[in-house]
Amino acid sequence: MKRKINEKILLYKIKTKKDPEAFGQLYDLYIEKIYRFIYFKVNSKEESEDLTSAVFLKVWSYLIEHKEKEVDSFSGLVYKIARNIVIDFYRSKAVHKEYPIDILEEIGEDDHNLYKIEMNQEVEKIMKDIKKLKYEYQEVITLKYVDDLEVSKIAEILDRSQTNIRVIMHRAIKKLKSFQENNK
Amino acid sequence: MSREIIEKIKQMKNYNGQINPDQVWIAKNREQMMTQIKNTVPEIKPKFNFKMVWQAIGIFIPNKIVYNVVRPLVVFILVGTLTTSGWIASVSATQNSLPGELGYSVKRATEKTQVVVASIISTEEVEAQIHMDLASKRAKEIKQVVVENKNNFIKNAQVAMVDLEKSIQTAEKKIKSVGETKPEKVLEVSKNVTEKAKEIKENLKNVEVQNNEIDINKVQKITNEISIGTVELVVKKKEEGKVIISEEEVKKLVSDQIESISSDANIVQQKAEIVVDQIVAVESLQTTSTTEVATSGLSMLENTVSTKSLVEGTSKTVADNIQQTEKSLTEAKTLVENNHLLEAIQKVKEVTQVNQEIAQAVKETQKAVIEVQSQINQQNLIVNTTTNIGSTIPVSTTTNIGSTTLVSTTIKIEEKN
Repeated sequence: MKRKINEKILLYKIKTKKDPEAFGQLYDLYIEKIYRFIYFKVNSKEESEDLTSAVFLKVWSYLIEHKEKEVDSFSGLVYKIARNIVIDFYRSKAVHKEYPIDILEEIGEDDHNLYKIEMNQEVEKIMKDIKKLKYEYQEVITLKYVDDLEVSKIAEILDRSQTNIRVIMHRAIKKLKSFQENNK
Repeated sequence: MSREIIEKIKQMKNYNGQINPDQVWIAKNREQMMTQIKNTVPEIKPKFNFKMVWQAIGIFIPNKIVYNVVRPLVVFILVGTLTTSGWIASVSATQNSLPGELGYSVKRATEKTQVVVASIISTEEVEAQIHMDLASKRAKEIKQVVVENKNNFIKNAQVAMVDLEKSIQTAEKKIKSVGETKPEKVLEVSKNVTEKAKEIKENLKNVEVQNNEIDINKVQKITNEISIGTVELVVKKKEEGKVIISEEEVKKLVSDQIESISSDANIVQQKAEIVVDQIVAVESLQTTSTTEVATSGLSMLENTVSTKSLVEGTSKTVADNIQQTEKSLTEAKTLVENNHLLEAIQKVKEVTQVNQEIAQAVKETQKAVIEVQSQINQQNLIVNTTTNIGSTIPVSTTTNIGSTTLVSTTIKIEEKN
């Protein structure tokens, strides 16, 4: 609750006074989450960094240029913009024929795009399994368990109902379980 | 097993590496971003507007509620407050204005609004009190107007006098209605009425002292009527068992009325004595005059009085009536002591009536005397002629008190010895 009010105060300062410091504080709160969110989709550190920077600049522009539009929550806004930026990224890649457009649906099943990362073997396994899931399942799982967002917030970001999100969560976990059992 | 999976997923964010951003990069990126966004911020600070208020409220309340409920409500309250405060500001500025002044119409308009609102939302006893309050205000205004003695003050005072009359008449109607519909409220109303009536009479008394051109008799009459009438109503309702009041309290109410009328009678007596003195003064003016009546040039001289008969007539009649008044009031007091309150009130009413008539007669006599006085003075200034001795010219002024002729008016030019 306190964090929520703090975010609202910072948002108020940005919209009314164009306070860069207030935006800086919001950047500090969300930078890691947005980076992880993007990284799960693009699997590239450099691309993730570039896209994450772009997300925050775009959020700032949106807040300044659309003062009349009400922003209920900063997290909803920043995740939506991040999602759109990733989609735009893949569209532009598809245009240049670097990645097919349907990669958005299939990227989780393509092991060749995964980079090796230094982490615990178990975690690595689970990451691989997550990548096998449907794109929407991945989003929900990472937003819920990695970024610790509430179901209502996830529903807002993905523009779905809360019931739908819970169903996806349940199915995603079930799928991961089946992957684990198959691995054994 | 689900829990294990969930736990493993949660652990992902605790690992360094590409899944989590590099802290150096975070800091560097922040610096670059801040530089960029600071360039987009204008130097001029944005001015305050009401949108900021809603946004601020939106910190604590969901925006939907802010814009669909809070904002309309606040706007409604603000508009109402601004309108009312603007009204109050203009009203308060005009509260001290007097008849004939610029803000007086605003003052009267706001009072009328008050009356209208009271007629809708208030009870009749409250309305009666409001009208008596307004009447008292009018009396104060009249007094002030006369004291200040500005242009057209007589006309302005008379305008206020008319309003005063109307207020008292309206109050009287309301009180009658209260007596019929809510007799238990009559006592409460009577206290306000008698208090305000006293204030009105006090202010009007001062008015007459300042300027006797303004006729206050009619207003005094209705003020007395409402005061006595309300007390009578209390007594009647007490006897019907509809009003709870102690014997002492109700006797006091009636005694206060007796005292009030007694005081009025004394004032009338004093006025009569003043008039007699004025008549004597006129007589001395006449007897020292060396002018003559020239019918061709001085036809305005028509109202010279026979002073001797006037003095005698005035003094005797007034004295008789005052004596009668005193006797009646004494009888009234006795009736009160013996608990015959309604009869006492009846006596008070009779005395009031007589008092009123004497006051009217004295006033008219005084007018006549003043007129004569001024014409004699005028005559002395412009004419230096010899007097036609023995000629008489009929006069117009006669005044009756009851069945007695107070003033016999004849013009008689007497030979100066």
